[in-house]
Amino acid sequence: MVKPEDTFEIIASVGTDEYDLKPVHGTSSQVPTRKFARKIYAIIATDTSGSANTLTIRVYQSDGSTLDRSFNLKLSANETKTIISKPDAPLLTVYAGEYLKAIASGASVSLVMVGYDL
Amino acid sequence: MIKIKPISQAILNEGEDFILAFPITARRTMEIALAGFRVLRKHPLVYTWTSAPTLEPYGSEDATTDFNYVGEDGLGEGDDIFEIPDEYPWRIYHFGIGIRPSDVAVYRAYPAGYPTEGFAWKTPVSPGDKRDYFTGAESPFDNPTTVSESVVFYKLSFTIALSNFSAQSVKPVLKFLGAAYDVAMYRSKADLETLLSRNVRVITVGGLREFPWSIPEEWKHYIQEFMFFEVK
Repeated sequence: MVKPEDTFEIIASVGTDEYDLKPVHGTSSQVPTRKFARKIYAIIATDTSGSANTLTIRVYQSDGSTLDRSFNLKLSANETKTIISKPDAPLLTVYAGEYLKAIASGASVSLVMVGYDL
Repeated sequence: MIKIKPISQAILNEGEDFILAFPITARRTMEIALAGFRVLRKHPLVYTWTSAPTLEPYGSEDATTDFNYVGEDGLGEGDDIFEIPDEYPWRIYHFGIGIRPSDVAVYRAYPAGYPTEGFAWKTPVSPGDKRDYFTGAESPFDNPTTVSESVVFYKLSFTIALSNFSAQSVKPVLKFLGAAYDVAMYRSKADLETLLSRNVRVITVGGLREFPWSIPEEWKHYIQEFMFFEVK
């Protein structure tokens, strides 16, 4: 079972430029190669633009430039979407060496993710 | 298969015996000096060490420290918390090390300059290597395990190094948990043979690799050398 001290948050204000989703007090959005994977089990996204917005979460391969997979979260104006699972039933897996990034269709989306590395 | 059990299950009680083993040669010939003790008094040993340095994320230059003593004010800073004063030559510390958060690795070198190692293919281990460490996964902060079992006695230097395996900077906290014993020493080879035949706990200081160990003057008359195996 994951211990509270081993989880971390990713906090970002995502706009129309692609944003590196790195842990708080982290320096890179790349999952360390010493790990197996990063597991995200909570996502809270709020539109702060006042208009309908689309947040796209992107996972890049270890070269940092080849897009491997992505998904969209559609937000109405000022809407907050809260998607919370349990740590042992995570929502998203990013494997060692891969990069986690995000981009929004408008400026901007306030994003919080909670996860841990295995 | 190593048993990972809580250090609390390895701590001895008053009246129990144990042997410290000091390898002389541990390759083709196995020759070990043994010192036998009885625990006369036992004191609780707890130290929550909050003076560790901040370690940068894994991959950064400052994610790993060098070996240094555990100081009151930091790693290698302030008084050494494991230094046993001259008036306590019969005091022995027996403890485990709990680690928070789990992704911080501890490497040990005791005596200083001689890292404890299991793998024999490439020595010595350096802090940050992928071997011969333990993390909070193996020895949690709230319940340190025998993976981190350590023994410190008068005149033995105890050093550690830290490495951050996580993606964010951390300031780890360690808990040293165990007991301090006041001991009496068995004085003859016959006594030690009796202890060995009773399967009392044998604790290797710094692992089974040979190193130039030194022991307190007060012990020198009573330590006994045994040769167990010789491979021709």
